[in-house]
Amino acid sequence: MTMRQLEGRTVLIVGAGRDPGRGIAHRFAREGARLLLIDRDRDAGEALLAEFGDQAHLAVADPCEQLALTAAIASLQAQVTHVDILVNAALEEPAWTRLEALDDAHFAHAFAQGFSAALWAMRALLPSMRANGGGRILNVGSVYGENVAEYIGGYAAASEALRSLTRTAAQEWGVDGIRVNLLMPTVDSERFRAYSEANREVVGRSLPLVALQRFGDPVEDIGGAALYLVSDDSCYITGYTIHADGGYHLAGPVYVPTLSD
Amino acid sequence: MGRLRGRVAVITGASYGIGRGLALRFAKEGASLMLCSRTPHKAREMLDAVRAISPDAQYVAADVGDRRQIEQVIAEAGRVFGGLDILVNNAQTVMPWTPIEDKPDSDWDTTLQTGLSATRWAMCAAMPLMRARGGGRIVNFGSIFGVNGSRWASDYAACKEAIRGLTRAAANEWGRYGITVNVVLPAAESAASQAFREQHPDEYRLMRGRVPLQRHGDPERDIGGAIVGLVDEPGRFITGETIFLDGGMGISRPVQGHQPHRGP
Repeated sequence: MTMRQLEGRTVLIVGAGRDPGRGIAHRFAREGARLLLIDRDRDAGEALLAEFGDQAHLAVADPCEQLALTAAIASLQAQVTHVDILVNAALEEPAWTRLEALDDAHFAHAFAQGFSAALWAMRALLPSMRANGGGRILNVGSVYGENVAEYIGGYAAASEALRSLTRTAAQEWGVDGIRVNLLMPTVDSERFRAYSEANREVVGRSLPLVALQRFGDPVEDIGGAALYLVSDDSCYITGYTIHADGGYHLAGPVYVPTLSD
Repeated sequence: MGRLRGRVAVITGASYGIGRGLALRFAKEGASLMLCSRTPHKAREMLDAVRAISPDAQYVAADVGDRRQIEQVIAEAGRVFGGLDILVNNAQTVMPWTPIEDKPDSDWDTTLQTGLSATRWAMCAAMPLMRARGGGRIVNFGSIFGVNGSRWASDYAACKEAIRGLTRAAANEWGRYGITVNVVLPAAESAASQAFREQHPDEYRLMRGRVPLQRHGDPERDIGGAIVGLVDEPGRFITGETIFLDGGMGISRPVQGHQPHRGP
């Protein structure tokens, strides 16, 4: 049996009910972590609890609501001595809408979900991480923020703001032994699979552009990369963005022929 | 420990510094090792330390700037261990600090031969062996000096950025063989960093003060750990990526004059 890398560690995951948060939760559970799960979807959260049993605790809260989120974190913190690892994965893709049709409320929601929720959770856990001599924070961003992203302008902007926050926190809290990084995954999630069913041609064009020729398995590929960034392996990595996308970020619209092997 | 048991790894430039730390760490993780460096007597201390951990370590004296010699190292790994899973292209000859306009062609040649060309030759020799295994992991070495275009090291900066470009192209081309190719940019304790600290204490303090994690990297724990994770199972979906192993120093670009509130 391979060594379990998160034995004895406690992880709080905000947005655990759906991928990539859910895949990360599964992977971390396998690595022996104790899990504190937050999601706005009670059914999704309880489904995870049913799988993880005593290894996990759940609080249902909408990460966009500051008071609800901080109350949920406090209730979960009360179940454990301290939290070693925080994963912020609350950002959800919205419906496609043109920039001129996105109103202020849409942007406010995107920023609450993709940026502020992470900030609130990081602030809530900072004192205990400090007191405990350190911690690891993993923010989950989106390749659609880093790249041009038509029709999801709020989501993309919030994701990029989260990257900036990641660097600032890494710089300011490094002295406390707290590492902060950002994961940019491409996930073969339920939502992506539904999209693929309906848009076979588009996905058929995209897949060959992925160096590793597959989209990310939520548990093995994305959960694995998340594990890398919160485990002792990466003890000297902080402030950075790591793509878990099989090399998809390398694909650009350039003139490249298809050569036979 | 033992996470790389059954895997065959080549590490170039293994005698001292980061290469030595990697060799020790990979030995502790159980990898079968083919190590190389230019000068055998300089490798002796490292080899003794590695073999005290694991007997499964072979050494070949080789100048990686010579195509035939680096290809020989890769071939030897295949011959001795029956295949190859991991290639770490750490070796790089570093020439003296010189302004661009004064830097001799011979410096450029040496830097590019031992860095860019050596990396490419090793990768091309390793690829068929990895492909035969159904996949592999290649880790190349870039540098913050390249990303920043640091002064007086134009050959080194250009070479290291070229290695990043090569890394991404190889990731794109060889992904279909299950081979991941990444480039790491380490900042670690070495004889060179200690010499710099002694000779340029003010510059060292400025740089060191911008490292969020408040320490210079340990070759075995900090750099070795990150590379083990990358070549182990958790790194399976990361390819073509540039990974700074520098305690966060590289997020300060350009290096800022002001120091953090609680510095070293």
